[in-house]
Amino acid sequence: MDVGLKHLFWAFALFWLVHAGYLLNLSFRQKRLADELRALKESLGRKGSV
Amino acid sequence: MSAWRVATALLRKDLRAEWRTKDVSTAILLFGFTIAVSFAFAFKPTPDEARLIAGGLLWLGFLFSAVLGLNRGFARETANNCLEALRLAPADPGSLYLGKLLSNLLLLLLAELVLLPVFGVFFNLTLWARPGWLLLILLLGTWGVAALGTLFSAVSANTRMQELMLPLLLLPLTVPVLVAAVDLTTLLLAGRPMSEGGLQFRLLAGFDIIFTLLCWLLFGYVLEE
Amino acid sequence: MSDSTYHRVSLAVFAATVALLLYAFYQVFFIVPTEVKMGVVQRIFYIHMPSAVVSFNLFFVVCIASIGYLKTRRLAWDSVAVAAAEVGTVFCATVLITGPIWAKPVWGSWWAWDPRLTTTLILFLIFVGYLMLRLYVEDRNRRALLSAVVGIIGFADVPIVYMANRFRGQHPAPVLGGGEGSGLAPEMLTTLLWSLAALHALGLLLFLQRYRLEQMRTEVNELYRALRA
Repeated sequence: MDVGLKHLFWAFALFWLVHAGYLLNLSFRQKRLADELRALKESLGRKGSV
Repeated sequence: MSAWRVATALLRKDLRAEWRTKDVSTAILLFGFTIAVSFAFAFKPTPDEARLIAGGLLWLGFLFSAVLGLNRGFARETANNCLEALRLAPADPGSLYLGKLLSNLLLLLLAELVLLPVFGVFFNLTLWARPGWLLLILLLGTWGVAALGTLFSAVSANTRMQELMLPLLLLPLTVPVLVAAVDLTTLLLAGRPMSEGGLQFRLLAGFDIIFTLLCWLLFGYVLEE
Repeated sequence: MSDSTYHRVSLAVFAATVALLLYAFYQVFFIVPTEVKMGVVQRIFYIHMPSAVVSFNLFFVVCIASIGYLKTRRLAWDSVAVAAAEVGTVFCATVLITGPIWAKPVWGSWWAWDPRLTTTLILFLIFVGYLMLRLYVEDRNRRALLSAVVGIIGFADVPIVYMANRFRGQHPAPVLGGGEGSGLAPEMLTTLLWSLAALHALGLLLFLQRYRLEQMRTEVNELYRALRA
């Protein structure tokens, strides 16, 4: 029973760690792209007004 | 030009090129031999153990050598811009696929037939007790590898990683072939009646038919500019 | 999909996912009875099996999207494919992690060539290969084309891999979650269904986020091209 609890805990813990990690990775990539997008739009705006 | 004529024309061109350079066959033979020796050193099985694991070792050896051979076979195409010529040829890509498949199949089979006695010597196997069945297993298994391998060598030639992409894609996909062929070869070497392998034979045949068809349909996309 | 629509849908899916996950968690740990043979460890089943179903469904989406791209050549299909493939691979990874953790106390070994787990392993490898292929092709259209081919063949292989492993071996391989379908207690079925709903919601949420990422990337590339023009 004790062994079972340990395994149960680890299974759920690792499951959520993997998903949390992926979510964090996704938000990090999204933020980086959002910054890049903003920078590009700015330089295009500048280019247009030149 | 009819599909069959295109395929056989391509086959003849490949065989002629191979006869001149012996690129693919030397690669497969040397590598296969090295693998056989490595396995012998790593496992050193007794004759009884050998009969149990030989099927696995044989097909692993074939599979790894095939990856090498398929890569070199396609490298020949990309080297001289033959791909361009193939794309511009007034032939439907399906026939090109069939031609390439047949040439790959023939070369792989030839290499395997040479490698079999090598394995036989190192592992003390009696391979030729039932040659008909052995050849059938070889044919069905190698066909599966060649069918997928021909398409995927074209795919991997398109990538930055080139040759490294082929085993990464091919090995997981050919697991059914590996499993069935190994089980059948083990049955054969153990002297068991081949009727016990009915499921595996059907699996191999099904695999070969399905993926030859699928790759035949999809090859054109891979050749696209 | 415009920005505001995306944000509204995203929020809705996020709320639904959280609600479902909380309720499923409650079900798994407070409602469902403990299984007789395996004890508490069996509760892993409620994230293990639904994850496998979600990953399989996502790979089916990859296959459909690949066919869609080949037929229409519209890159939106390719974005669907890569999003589904990436999220599917994540779920697949969790199946492969929770599987052995469950197997060890139940059978004493980490791996047992259970045909379903073995097939999941190959599925994982196929789609890691798919994602790696995409990393090494520069041109957007060529990448979409090659991935589509690999995606279709990869998915077609899965049932054959399962069959090959199912009929293998002299002794029947132990089957994880052998209870489902055959004599699954009604309380367990309810919990299973809630878990399935919750994890599908999670999968949808992650998919939408990843799809959005791909859209942004496409937009960035278009702007770069406009800048250079």
